[in-house]
Amino acid sequence: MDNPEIGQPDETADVAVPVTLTVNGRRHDLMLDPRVTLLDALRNYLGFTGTKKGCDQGQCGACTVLVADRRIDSCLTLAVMNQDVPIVTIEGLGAPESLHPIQKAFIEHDGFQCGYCTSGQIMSAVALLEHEKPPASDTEIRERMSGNLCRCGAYPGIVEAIRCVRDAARNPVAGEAA
Amino acid sequence: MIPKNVIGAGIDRVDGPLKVTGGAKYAGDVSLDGMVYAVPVTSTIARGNIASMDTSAAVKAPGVRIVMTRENAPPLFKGGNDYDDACQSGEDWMPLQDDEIYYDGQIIGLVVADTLERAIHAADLVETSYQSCRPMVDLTAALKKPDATQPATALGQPLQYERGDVDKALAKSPVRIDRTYTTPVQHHNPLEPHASVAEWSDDGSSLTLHETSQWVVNSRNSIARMLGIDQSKVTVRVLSPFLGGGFGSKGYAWAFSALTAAAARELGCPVKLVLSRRQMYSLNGHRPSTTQAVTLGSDRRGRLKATRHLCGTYTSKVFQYIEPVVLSTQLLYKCSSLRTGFDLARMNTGTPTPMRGPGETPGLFALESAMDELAFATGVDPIDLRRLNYAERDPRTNNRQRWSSKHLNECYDKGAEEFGWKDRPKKPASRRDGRWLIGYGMASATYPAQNTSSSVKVSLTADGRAEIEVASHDLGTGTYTILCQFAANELGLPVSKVSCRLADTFLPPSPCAGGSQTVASVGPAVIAACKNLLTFRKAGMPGEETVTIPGSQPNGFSWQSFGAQFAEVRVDAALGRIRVHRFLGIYDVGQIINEKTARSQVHGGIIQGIGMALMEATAFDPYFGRVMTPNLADYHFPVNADIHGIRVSFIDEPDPHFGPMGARGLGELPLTGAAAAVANAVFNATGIRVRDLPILPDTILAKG
Amino acid sequence: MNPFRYVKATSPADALARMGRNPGARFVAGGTTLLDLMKLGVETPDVLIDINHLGLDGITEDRHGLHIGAHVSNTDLAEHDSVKKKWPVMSQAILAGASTQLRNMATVGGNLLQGNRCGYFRDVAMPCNRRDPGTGCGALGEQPGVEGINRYCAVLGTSPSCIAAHPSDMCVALVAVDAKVKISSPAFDRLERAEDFFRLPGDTPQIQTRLGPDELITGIELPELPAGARSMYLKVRDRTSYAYALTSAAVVLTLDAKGRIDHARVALGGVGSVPWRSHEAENALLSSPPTEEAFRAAAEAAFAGAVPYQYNGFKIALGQDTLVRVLNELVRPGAGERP
Ligand SMILES: Cc1cc2nc3c(=O)[nH]c(=O)nc-3n(C[C@H](O)[C@H](O)[C@H](O)COP(=O)(O)OP(=O)(O)OC[C@H]3O[C@@H](n4cnc5c(N)ncnc54)[C@H](O)[C@@H]3O)c2cc1C
Ligand code: SF4
Ligand code: FES
Ligand code: FES
Repeated sequence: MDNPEIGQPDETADVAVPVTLTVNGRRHDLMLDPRVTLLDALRNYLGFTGTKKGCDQGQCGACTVLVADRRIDSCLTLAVMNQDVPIVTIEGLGAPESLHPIQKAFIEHDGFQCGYCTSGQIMSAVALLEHEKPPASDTEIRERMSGNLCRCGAYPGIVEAIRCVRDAARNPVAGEAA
Repeated sequence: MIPKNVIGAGIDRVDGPLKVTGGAKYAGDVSLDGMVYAVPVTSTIARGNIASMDTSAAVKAPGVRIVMTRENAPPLFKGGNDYDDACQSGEDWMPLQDDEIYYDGQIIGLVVADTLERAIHAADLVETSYQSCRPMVDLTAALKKPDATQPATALGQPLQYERGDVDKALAKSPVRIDRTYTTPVQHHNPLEPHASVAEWSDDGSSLTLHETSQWVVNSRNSIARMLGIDQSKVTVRVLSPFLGGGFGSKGYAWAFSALTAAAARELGCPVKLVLSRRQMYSLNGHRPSTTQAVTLGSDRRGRLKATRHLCGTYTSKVFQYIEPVVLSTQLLYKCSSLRTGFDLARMNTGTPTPMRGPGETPGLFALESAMDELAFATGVDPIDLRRLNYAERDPRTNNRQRWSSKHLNECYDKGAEEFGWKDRPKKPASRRDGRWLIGYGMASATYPAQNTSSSVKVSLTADGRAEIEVASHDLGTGTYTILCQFAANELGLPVSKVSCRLADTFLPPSPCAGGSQTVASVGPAVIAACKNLLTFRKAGMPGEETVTIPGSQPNGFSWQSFGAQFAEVRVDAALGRIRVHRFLGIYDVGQIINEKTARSQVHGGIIQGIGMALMEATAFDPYFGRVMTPNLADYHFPVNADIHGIRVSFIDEPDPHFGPMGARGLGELPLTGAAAAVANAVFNATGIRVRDLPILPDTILAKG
Repeated sequence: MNPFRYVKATSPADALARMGRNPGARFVAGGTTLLDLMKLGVETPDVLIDINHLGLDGITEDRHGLHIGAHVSNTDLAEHDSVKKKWPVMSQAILAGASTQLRNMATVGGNLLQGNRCGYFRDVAMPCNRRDPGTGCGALGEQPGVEGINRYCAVLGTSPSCIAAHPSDMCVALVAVDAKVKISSPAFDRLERAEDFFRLPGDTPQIQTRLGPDELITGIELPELPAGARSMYLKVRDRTSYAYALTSAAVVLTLDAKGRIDHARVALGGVGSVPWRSHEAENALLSSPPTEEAFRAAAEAAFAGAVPYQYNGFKIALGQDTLVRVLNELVRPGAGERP
């Protein structure tokens, strides 16, 4: 079937299209302007405001979410381009009463100050530890977390938190004792 | 259960669970029924006049509710310029009231539409033509213009200052250092963009603003004034419970907030405005560039005989901001002949504004670099040089007035020991590891302590829970946690039984969360309120207490914090690559309230200091005056990979003459001097003295 | 962003057909360049053709080398076992670019076409011949002696109409390994050498590659490197990570039995208007012993024709040192890359 893109669209046309997003295991049917980025869809249309906008240009990582288990900057992709794939945001990770180990570690090691970059940092850390080759050294953690800027300078705590969760996973007994 | 050692302990942040789950709601996260989106239209020239604006396409674009320009904007008024009365806006002027363009990125219109996408697009459809003139964006040239001035004071302190006879003392000094240092424009760049969400009640009798504000009381007063609101008739409420960093850029009130509220008033529905990253390079302040001539005269052993520090910097065309660069020079070392001078130019840039460690941060880069040059010239160890010129008492008072407490010598000792200073390469460019040259550097840090009047309300329930309420702020500084610690300590409760509400003008007022004064100002009020509640607590009765306490009154002591900072850098000279391999900061800030949040805050200051030393700079096109680095890919600040081996230590001694807890505050201190420590280490590593920040690969190459 | 229609192409032929019908359309792959430029108003397509579902996401290996689909992500290419083993320069170059998040999104095809990072190009209020031919070059400046902010601009291959540097890391390695770009056009398919794919700005800086507006990149081919080849990529930037190159160098080298250089391929990044293959450096290296002097001579040859501008003159020395460093590292691995 052909799509009706033939002919010059009217300058002002911004007709909404159906978009289905699967976020944190739940399906959401929306009608969206095709211009809506995945980030804005999550924040403005679905209420997942845990994912933050720091630059809207792929330059800070505050908008990091997992799409099909990969971390991406949700500000540089359109919502319509991310249908039929599982999307996980910070809200899908854990709640204050049932925190994910990385969330706990961020609190314990003070891996944040203002908290604005934190959702992105945590989503990156989850991808790093659960879906990518585990980092072998602190230097590697630092390099692979460098797509998430933190203006408050919480980097030392972030590295500690990730290292501890990695070590606990490698060596559960020692990890618990620590 | 009585908690032990609540004060000082490294307690986890009480707001941590909300922040790590995405549950903390920042201003830009607020969504209200019927809310529409505003986007500013901004100037693309830096100086001139608007010739015409064609809004016809924007008005017709789908979903557009209003396009506001100077043609149809409601009258808006200058915000206040009165810091002491909590009515301080960043500009002494209001957009959309005239045709003149003073700086690049100035607001010249506002578009409101039903969706963000439509509002952004419609703002692009506004066509503006200008009569433009060549803007002034070159500091050296601007300082020579007739509109440059020599302001007498800043923050109540003299900028044009002299003690002794500097010229005579210099002439007699056998050793002289006479150098000019420059620092670039820096932007605060909090990761959270500035935002405002405005909602009016149906009858117009109340306005609620969800703001990115470090000072909600000021936001309320200033925005009300901009809107021409009489606060006795209209209730204005400002909320900012979570703030994604500010570093000074969210202290003063800015015009975009008033425009948001004005649009909401016109349209009768809530309006949200979030600045774009690009707009954040024009509309909410920055640290101005400086050029600083420092002259030091000493005897051959390094004893300072004369100091002269002359600073040139600038403000915008729409506000008189003074970056108080030379003040710390007047007090850091004992020196009987000392002069400071200050020239203030005017440039076509957005308004500069306080940025973390205003004044001290650029000032100490120059002074502490010059001290390093003097150490090298005299062959005295840099730490010994500082000890030799130690100010036992406040030099501004003819060495009469005592410090409330000062442990800077201990900072030097402890730092030298922990850092292994005695292993430092004695000669520049004398140690290497493979291709990497290794160097050590150090610098002092200093920042004044202050506190101001604050109120607070504490309520106690019969079952032993306490709630603190105050219109103060947590910018990531740990205020939520620290205030709970104070109350827990006073009332003998576990921290988990204490909760805290902040940053709402309906709560008791408190001062600006800037100048490292929050803990010192709000803490005593919490303690006082809790003390008054102790009888209720002992009787197991509910109670409620609102207190207002004044700021500390002059008590015959000078209040100042100090520190010593040490850096080890590795420099790959052929490729100009510099890595800060280790950094140690030792700080004397009085009592530490929360070891964990204190440490983090200091990390942040050091990391911003490393950024200042090695990469941060905003560039303006020299011809058009347009910001050419208006994003986080062109304006670099450190990423995780830049940061290694940061260690922090405190001289944890309560200050006996400053406030009830003896805690002087530590937000700004670590940033002062940090860049000098790095630059001094680069000199030690390479023999290359960099006097113009930042130290980029090209800097090393050009001088190597 | 201006409004557009979004359509999803289902095959390369479908993508081409849709493009043929909509001259104002753009393909979107990872979106990390295109959406950024659309937000800035630099790109204003009226139709967006999603090419993420064309089945171009495989990597296959045969005796000629590696065949990589245009839609393979930068991450998958960099982490591919064969690439890491046989074309380490490729893997290193890709991993030196952007961030993990962006590399997960970015595709091979998109990376070949990432525009440029010149601040004037990215600001529609500023003059730029590449974006709007005839408006002038903001980076060169309006007045003699008052050049624009051109610290990141190129020193090789520039023209009076445009001095922008090509920003890609991956493409520098592609040029060094003699990769080929597979192109599908409505009429026929063809292979283009990566080196020839990029066009110097000349008088038409707006035309940056040899890809026609109605053509589709379907993949790239990495030919086998000569037996015993060593290869490496090194990038110098303003911060340790997540920053574009000031300078970079990709080198492929083999030594003969006597220890002399018998094969060299040199490409430079951050310094050229295009990913810069330096045959001059290669010729200087051939048959010489791998000494510091030979490396210096090669570096000087590479920059013999360089033209500095007001703020980027340092790139000549830095570019030379970067190349010398890579050559040294290749013959004496690990001689100093510690901190
Ligand atoms: C903040 C940031 C930092 C970055 N840092 C670096 C860096 O350090 N080094 C580096 O090398 N890169 C860097 N990049 C650039 C990044 O690598 C590119 O944006 C990316 O490779 C583009 O791929 P894409 O698939 O997202 O392209 P898209 O944005 O989807 O497309 C780019 C262009 O190519 C066209 N196109 C895409 N695929 C095809 C095809 N198959 N056939 C024909 N046309 C096609 C599109 O129409 C579009 O014009 C950075 C990007 C950002 C945003
Ligand atoms: S260098 Fe090229 S891209 Fe940059 S302004 Fe000049 S023409 Fe445009
Ligand atoms: S908001 Fe997406 S990377 Fe900054
Ligand atoms: S915690 Fe504030 S930006 Fe990272």
